[in-house]
Amino acid sequence: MALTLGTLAPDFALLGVDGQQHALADFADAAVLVVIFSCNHCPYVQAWEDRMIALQAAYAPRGVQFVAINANDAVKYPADNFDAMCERAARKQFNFPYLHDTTQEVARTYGAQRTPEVFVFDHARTLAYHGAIDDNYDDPAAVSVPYLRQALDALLAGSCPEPAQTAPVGCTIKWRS
Amino acid sequence: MHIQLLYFDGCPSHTAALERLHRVLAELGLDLPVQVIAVETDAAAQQWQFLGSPTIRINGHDIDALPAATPYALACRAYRHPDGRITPLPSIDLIRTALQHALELSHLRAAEGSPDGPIDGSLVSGDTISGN
Repeated sequence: MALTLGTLAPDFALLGVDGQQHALADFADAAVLVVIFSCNHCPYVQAWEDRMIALQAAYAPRGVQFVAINANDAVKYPADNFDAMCERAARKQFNFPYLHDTTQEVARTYGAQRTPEVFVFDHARTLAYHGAIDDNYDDPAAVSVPYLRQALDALLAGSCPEPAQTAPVGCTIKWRS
Repeated sequence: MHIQLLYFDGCPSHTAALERLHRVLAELGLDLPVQVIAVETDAAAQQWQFLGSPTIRINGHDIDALPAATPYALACRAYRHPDGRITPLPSIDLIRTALQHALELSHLRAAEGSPDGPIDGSLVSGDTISGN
């Protein structure tokens, strides 16, 4: 079960594609922290990925920090192994850390089930929005409700996101057996 | 014509893919059953040579070519829009083109006097076969 709204962000310490360890405390200066469970191979992630990059670019000047975490079993899904993550991050010029949750403990702690699945934490690092990036994975031009953008705007304006929760849509996280 | 839609329940796009398939069949005036196959295990993925969900086959042929090295797996399948964007759904155009191609082949074979392969009318949309 996913974290409930209002829960404090669980800590993590994971290796990023930049070769550095990244922990929750490293992002203490961010006004809003967006944790996205993601991966390489999932077409839903690939469909939304450019929107993730564009949102990070648009909101970075306002103190919003994105962090993507890949927890997929890289043995059964080699397209999601660390080397492939490094390659993808470089090719797509990710403007946010891309971390590898090799033990899957972070994904389990957050209760993530899908990729992509978004957890947005406010300045106090309590969960303020959980769910999908927007309501149309297939066509960015046909999005009618940009959930994540709305949540960021609300938090930056000092109010609560509405809706605060939507159903994440995407591939299931590939758990190790 | 034998039409199959294979899916893995971990990918939500198969319902929309089936709707698109039915829409194109209706557009083309084809009243044909669709065999819907749930692929539920790694072994079934190998058995069905499953390249990801959703997969549509017409007379055994995949509607979209993938590299030969693509592994069989319980995974979601990536398609491309004409502009190169990735999508988990086969486009209406892709489905239509594949069906039209199969129809043309079928007509050619009929003209030559040979059938276009097995027709399994015993299964219709909504039927599910456990892929074990």
